Amino acid sequence: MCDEKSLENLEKVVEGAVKELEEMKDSSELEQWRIKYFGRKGIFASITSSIPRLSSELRPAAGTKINSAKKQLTRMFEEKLNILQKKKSPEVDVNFTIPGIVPERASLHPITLVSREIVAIFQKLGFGIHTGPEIETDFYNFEALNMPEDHPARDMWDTFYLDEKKRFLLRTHTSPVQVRVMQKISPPLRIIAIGKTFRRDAFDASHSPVFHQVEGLMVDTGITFSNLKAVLVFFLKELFGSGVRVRFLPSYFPFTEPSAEISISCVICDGKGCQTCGNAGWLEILGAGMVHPEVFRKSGVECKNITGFAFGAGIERIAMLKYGIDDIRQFYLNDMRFLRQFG
Amino acid sequence: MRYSLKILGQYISGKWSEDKIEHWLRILGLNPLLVKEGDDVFIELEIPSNRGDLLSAFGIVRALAPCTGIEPGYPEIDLQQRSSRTMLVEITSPEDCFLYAGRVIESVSVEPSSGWLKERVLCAGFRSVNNVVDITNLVFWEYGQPLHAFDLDRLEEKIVVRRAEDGEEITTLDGTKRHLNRDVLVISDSEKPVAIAGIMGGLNSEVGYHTKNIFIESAFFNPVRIRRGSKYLGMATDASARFEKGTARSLVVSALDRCCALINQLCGGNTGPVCVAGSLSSEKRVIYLSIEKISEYLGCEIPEDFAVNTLKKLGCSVESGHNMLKITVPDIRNDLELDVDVIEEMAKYWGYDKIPESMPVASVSPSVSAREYSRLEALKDIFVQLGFNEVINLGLGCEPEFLYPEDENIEIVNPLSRNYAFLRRSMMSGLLQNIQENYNRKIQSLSIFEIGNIYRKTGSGFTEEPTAGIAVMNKYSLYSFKGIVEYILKKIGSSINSQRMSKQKNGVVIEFLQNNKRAGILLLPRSDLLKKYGIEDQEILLAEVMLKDFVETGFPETVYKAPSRTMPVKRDLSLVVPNSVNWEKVEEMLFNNIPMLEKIEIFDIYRGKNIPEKFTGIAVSLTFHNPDSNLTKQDIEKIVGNVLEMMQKNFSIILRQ
Repeated sequence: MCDEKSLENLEKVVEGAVKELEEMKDSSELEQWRIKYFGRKGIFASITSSIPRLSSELRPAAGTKINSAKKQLTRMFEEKLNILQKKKSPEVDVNFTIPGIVPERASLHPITLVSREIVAIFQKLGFGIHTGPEIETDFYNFEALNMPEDHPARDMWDTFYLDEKKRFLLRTHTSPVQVRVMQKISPPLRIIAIGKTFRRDAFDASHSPVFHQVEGLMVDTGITFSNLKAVLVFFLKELFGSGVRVRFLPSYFPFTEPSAEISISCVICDGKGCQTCGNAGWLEILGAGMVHPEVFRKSGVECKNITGFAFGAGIERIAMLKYGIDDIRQFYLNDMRFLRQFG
Repeated sequence: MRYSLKILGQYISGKWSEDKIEHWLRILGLNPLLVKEGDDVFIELEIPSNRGDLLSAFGIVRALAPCTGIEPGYPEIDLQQRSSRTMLVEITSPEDCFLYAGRVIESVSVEPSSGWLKERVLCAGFRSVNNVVDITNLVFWEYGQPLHAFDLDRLEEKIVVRRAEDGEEITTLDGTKRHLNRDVLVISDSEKPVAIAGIMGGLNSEVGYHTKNIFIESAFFNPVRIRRGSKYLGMATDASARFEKGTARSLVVSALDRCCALINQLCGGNTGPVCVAGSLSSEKRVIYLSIEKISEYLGCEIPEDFAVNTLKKLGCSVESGHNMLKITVPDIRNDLELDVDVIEEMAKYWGYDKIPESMPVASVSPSVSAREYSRLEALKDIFVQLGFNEVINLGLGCEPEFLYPEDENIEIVNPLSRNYAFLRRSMMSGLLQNIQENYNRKIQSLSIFEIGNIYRKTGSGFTEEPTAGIAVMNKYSLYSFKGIVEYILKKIGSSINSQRMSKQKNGVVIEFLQNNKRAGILLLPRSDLLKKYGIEDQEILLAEVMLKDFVETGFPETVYKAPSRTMPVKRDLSLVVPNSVNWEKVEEMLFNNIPMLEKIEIFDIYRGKNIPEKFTGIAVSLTFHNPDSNLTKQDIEKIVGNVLEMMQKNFSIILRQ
């Protein structure tokens, strides 16, 4: 069916193909066109297959002709394809410099976030988590912590009372949880407690009558002051980064002996001295010490060779340093513009 | 406490430098702050409340002795007894005053202070009064023993240390009339109180420029008695602060003699013999401590000679043998009672920073945890997933709670202010306040939650119950909000068997009841309640979910149900429901009577156009499912016909046209 004649018709074929191509509207029509001309059984296949039947002098010229027609049509096909695809993908026209729409998101309170971080660190060391009541009795808040009635150290905690006899009060620290846990569970013990505490301090940038504390307690045979240091250095480096330096100095709490005040090198100025650290280069962050024998006695822990350490820290203070918050009152304003930053 | 280095230096023997002293005061935990004033440097110290001994110049120098090589330079006391005049001294309340001593000095000349006395007294932080009073203050500063000078000629007959009578009065040196009671210890003569013991002298026996003869008091009081008196009278003085922390028997006469000698030197006069009531001899406190225990406790080897030398420099006498130290503690160090107190001294002087860090060796044991914490934290995450922001409120409020009028208010006896005088009995007032404040900051809509305790009075005390408070403003319709509350209740395992609606003072309340117990509560606040917060035009909904049972039982376990091989079929119905119908009953009836009915979901609720008054349009999606074979179109038509018939017959619910 293909002969010289059809070869002579090549020009007409090309002419028709070009015309058809110009009228193409979508890629499926284009595909049909491609199959018609270049498919396995397409027009060009049949034209090419007729070459061997030509006389040998005509063959090279025919080959060249067919090839250049093929090349021309293929190029035009690709151009058309390009145009049609561009039409199909509208994102090419989008301005990517316009920011995306931020999804509405909810957040946990920063106190919760920091508490969880602290919990996670102590869980690595196998500490359990305990809680205790916010309304405490004088016994747990003071007496069991080696502060009998009229003990001058009671002045360290200005207390809210709920009855005239001063039997019930709002706990001034989370340390009563130590006593409650030791009364319930015998050593060995590794626990932390997190919760609200109350002190009769008027509001200012660094005081709030309500704040949160984390309390820790480890009790076992042969626990040493050196263990206390290692655990708290681990904690502080996990929390503030391995570059932080930790300083231990003597302090006084009636419920620990020896007692220590623990500071970290200022996270703002790295110890050079700035407004945050009052130019001291150090930030007080934890109170700690070895559990006082009287606390063990009052908690009913009477085994020989049992020693332990305890510590406490303010969550707000830690959160303020971590997030650069300069006023403790922010935590209790519950301003959405503040809260949403933690989402 | 504030010390001038220039003056302090006069009580030190041995070589010292400012830097060294500052360094060691820091190592010892006294937080020194150096302030330059003219050519002098003042050190401000934080003295812990168990270290009354450090409220004195010699106390500070003694504390520095083990580490700096300095020693207290005690003055030589050259007291000439030139008079034989005595004063009768009596203690009628021996549990309050352990020792009372005094000396009469005749013919003193009371004058304004001058020279080194005035300089030292001012540097020590006292006001200069006259030479006699200034000397008592200076010796107090040196020894840490408060002293008092009386005008002898204004004392009748004798000195009695006794409790005040109820209703007795005294005008103290500051000119204030004080009303006394049995809690207060006084120094009196045979007729009247002449001083409040350990706190402040009386105006009636004040030493002035006219005074000729004086009586100097030095005593050892029970710290508890002074503290109670000071608390009762609301008076705290340098002397009371010192006595509260515990003074020492051994200080009484040495300070008295130093004072009298200085008075003789600077004010003249003839001193009489010491007059004493109570015992002069103090019992010796002995602590036994093995060197091993120090190392075991600290986790650090402390050499025996270091321990012994340190303790000796601190004024202890130490005998050692068989690795055991027998330590006799001077009575001024009343903080040293137990072996661990001595261990702390070892750690301090060794240096906390020199004690190595070593992780504890512990047996692997499952960590004991109370579950409440993790359960409440997981619940917080659920709220955040639902798009709620967490808030934390103080839990202290200004007004009695509006939600549970049947409960008693819990008032703080000594509140900071009226704004924080009550403990919350509901989460809602705090949340309303949060909405108000945010609304005032131009926040147009929000959804917040808080998990915390609410408090209640019980017969003998108080209870606190974990509770979730939920609040939305311009965010959800009533039914969407109710759906959230119901979802939370279901999630925490409350199976609600009934809901009770009531109109209350503050709005419409829906209570979610589990076996007739309130598990949750939803409030549509009335506009006059919202008006108090200035948010009456906003769409506000509040709810509270009780978490007490949840923290004990935790989340219900998810029980897996194999997905069915047959296909469920859904049919949506648009219903017109009379408002008097209790929808729960409708569902109950359908589930009881239509065995193939698997689920009823409400996907739209509307009122208004095309819905007659007193009716609500409810669009429901019913899911039918036969696990054994697929339901045919005919089956479904028959079932839906039954459903509609039952709803119309029993509840007058009709299909919307």
